[in-house]
Amino acid sequence: MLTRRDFLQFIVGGTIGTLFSPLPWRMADEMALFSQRWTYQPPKGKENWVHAVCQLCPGGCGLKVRKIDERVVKIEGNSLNPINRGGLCPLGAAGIQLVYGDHRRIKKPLKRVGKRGEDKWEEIEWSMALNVLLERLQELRKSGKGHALACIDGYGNTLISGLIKRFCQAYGTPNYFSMGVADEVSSLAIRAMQGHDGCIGFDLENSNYILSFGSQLWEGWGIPVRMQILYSHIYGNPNRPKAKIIQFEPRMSDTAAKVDEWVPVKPGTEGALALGVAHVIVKEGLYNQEFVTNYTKGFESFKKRVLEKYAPHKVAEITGVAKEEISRIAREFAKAKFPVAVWGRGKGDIPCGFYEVMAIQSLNALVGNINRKGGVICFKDVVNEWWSAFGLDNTAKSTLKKGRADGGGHLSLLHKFSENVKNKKYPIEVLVTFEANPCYAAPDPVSFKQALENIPFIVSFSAFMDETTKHADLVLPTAFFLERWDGITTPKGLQYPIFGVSRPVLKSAYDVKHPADIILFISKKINGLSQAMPWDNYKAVLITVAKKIYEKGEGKIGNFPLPGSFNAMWEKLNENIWLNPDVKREGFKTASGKFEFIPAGFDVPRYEPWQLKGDKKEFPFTLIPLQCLMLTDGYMASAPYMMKALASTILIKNDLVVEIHPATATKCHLMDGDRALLKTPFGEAQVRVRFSEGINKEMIAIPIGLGHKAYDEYLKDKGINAHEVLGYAEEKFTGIATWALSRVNLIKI
Amino acid sequence: MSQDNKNLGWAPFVVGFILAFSVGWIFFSKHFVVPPLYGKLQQPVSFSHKVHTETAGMTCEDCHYFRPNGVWAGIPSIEKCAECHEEPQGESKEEIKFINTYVEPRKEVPWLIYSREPKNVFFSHAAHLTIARFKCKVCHKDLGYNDKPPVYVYSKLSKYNQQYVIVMEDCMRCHKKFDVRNYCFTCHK
Repeated sequence: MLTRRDFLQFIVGGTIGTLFSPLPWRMADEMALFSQRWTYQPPKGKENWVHAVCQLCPGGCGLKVRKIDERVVKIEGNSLNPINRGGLCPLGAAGIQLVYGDHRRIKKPLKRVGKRGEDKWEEIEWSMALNVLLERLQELRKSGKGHALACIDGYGNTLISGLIKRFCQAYGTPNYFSMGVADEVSSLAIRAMQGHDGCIGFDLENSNYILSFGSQLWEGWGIPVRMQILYSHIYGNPNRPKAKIIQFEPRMSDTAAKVDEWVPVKPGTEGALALGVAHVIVKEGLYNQEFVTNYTKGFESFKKRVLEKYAPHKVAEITGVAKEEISRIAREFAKAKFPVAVWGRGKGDIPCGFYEVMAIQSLNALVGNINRKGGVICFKDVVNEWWSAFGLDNTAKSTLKKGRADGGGHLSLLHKFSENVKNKKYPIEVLVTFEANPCYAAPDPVSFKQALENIPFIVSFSAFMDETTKHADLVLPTAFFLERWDGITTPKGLQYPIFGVSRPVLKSAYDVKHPADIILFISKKINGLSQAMPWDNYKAVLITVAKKIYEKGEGKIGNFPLPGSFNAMWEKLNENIWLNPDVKREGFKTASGKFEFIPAGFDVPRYEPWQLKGDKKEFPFTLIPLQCLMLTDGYMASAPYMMKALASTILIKNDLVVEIHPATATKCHLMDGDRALLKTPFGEAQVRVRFSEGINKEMIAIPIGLGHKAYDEYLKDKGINAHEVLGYAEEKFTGIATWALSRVNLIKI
Repeated sequence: MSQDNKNLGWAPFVVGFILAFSVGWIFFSKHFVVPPLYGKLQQPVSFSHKVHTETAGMTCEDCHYFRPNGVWAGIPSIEKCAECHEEPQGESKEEIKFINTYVEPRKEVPWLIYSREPKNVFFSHAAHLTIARFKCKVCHKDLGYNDKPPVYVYSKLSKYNQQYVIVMEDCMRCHKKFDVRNYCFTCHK
């Protein structure tokens, strides 16, 4: 009979026996090997690499896409591409997550069934969706209310954008709005001073003294990868002539920390600072005599104005920069061989004032570096040149005469659009958004959302279920980057024109269409539009542009001259971009043929303070935006990988972190890490505070790009939307809205 | 309680020990290869490295080489075999069978690969042969000198081969010895 004691002995013996056998060690090893397969395993299949061009920002970096059978598994930079030279930004590297982002992407055309914004949809077929849109547009045009259609374009300066503008013209609506107001402002200022449209590029690669007026050069300004390469070139390449970079910025951003000098400046006073620098240059006669005498007009008035009003001690009062600093920087700038002054706040998408751009460009004129090596280069881009003229029918002519919904002329003033539509001052019956997200990123998005209530029909062209799409009545899912034909045109700030073609790399898993193809299809069906839009599809548009370039015969593809035949060139275009570094520079096209310090219809460059909402007593501090490479703004929201890489200086769990100077925090009785209520005239939100001595006193910096209420679980409800609290500040003269500063108060809770 | 029961003494302990010890060694040691954990497979073709190197006078690089683009070719394709084996070399039954089954229809031989690295490991032959100038046998031992292909013993749970396998510890030891980069991401990209 086995006793309890025997049984236990048997078990103990067995256990010890097991330990002396390979069993436990073997099994531990086996489990480790077996569980390796639980994580992601690359798909099996045939590997191939395809070339494409990135479309996630207007930068247009060359990509090499690795595919296993039909599945894209990796995106790398194309090392032969002259712009990114194999580099990639965080968004580009995480691009696959956006393409295969199952929870963000829209899979089929949707029709709203619930209340607006309730997120209840019915899936419909494309034929039905297009019919609904078409009927609405035809009806509107027939009844002579063409101007009641508004289009908001999120593409910026691209070929699709050109198509939308053309469509609006032919249809007869003056209500075309772009999300890229910052670019519109620069273009307007350049048109005023130099008399021409086209691109403005900064030849930073050859410059040796860069004055950056709030441009966060290393954090995604212009083309992020180009700037990163430039950084390593300036500070890492011993063969490159030394360059000095001065950063004027209210906060010590990564850029400010990594350039030669950071000069803290009060936000919104960059224009005054530029004029202060101009004062010293003019007073001490340091300007480029030859350029100023031969190529400029109105210098005397400019001289009088800056000498009178912008002496360093006065400017020091406005900007908070010491007068000795201003004088020293002005002298260094004027004496440098290749100086350049750069504008474009933050990543270049936060609008500058009209007079601010004029003031900064005047500096470039004073040192005579316009269209010279290392300076500001002006040229015409293919996209501006190639569109043919077309006739308008009477319906279009009559409705085009009606004013714009924002009451302006040239600029997309979305804040005024919201106001007028909200107060029923301007009837908008159909609103179409093209991969734009104004419900998130418009100046004062809350009031924009209120305006939507007065618009009976909203159509959203979008690849993602974003905030604006959620408020739409009809959703048309668009093919996304890598799934469609794309044309790449000269990005912001580049000093020579480029053109690239990206063919579809993969077949979309969803029922989507190319946005441009839809526009072309609709144009064919509406009477009177077909002349303006003769192309069958977007590919045909790209071929026409490429032919135009081929016929001109200028430039090269990558590092090679243009091939002998068009077909060969078309093939090459799919692998690398066309560029023309020896582009013909655009001379001054003003009435006088010179650079005008006082453009016709405008004043001499002057400092125009931003009109801030709210009372200084109630909101004693200034709120400024904080941008970084790991956060994107607007429609193209951050990818999940980027969210994972966010530092705790920006987001702690779901709390947004704002930056504040310890001295200012003491005034609000706040400690590092405390929760607080951020209150501005536009809204309020709960945040956490973080002490930083890299920010001016009386100032609070808020990260832009978080606080989404749509997209997927990685983005939704993380932090707060900075646009909702920043609202906007207006330039009195032009009505331009910027979200570079706002009045604010911080209350302990 | 009777007297007998008390006399069992150490017996249950010893029985338990021997039982567990034997089970452990018989079923979980790769030397015996008894199912269920382990399985045994034979190579589809009885390939002899010895015949190829000694009799035919070939070198390793004749079959295992870098492609012109620098990629390691690994196990040669059937095209490579067919260069010599289009006609039977000798009259053995195996040879005739090999030619009929694989060479004639140009069907790739489903070789069982002893040292196939798992998918989460990045391994470059180029780095080890061209830069470090290793001989094949440093890692592959005598695999290239045998007359009969060794039996392919594998674990049914993890699907890993049990012989001629190089595990992470081996990689790391050698990397340490030669003072080369030994970071996680050196191999796990």
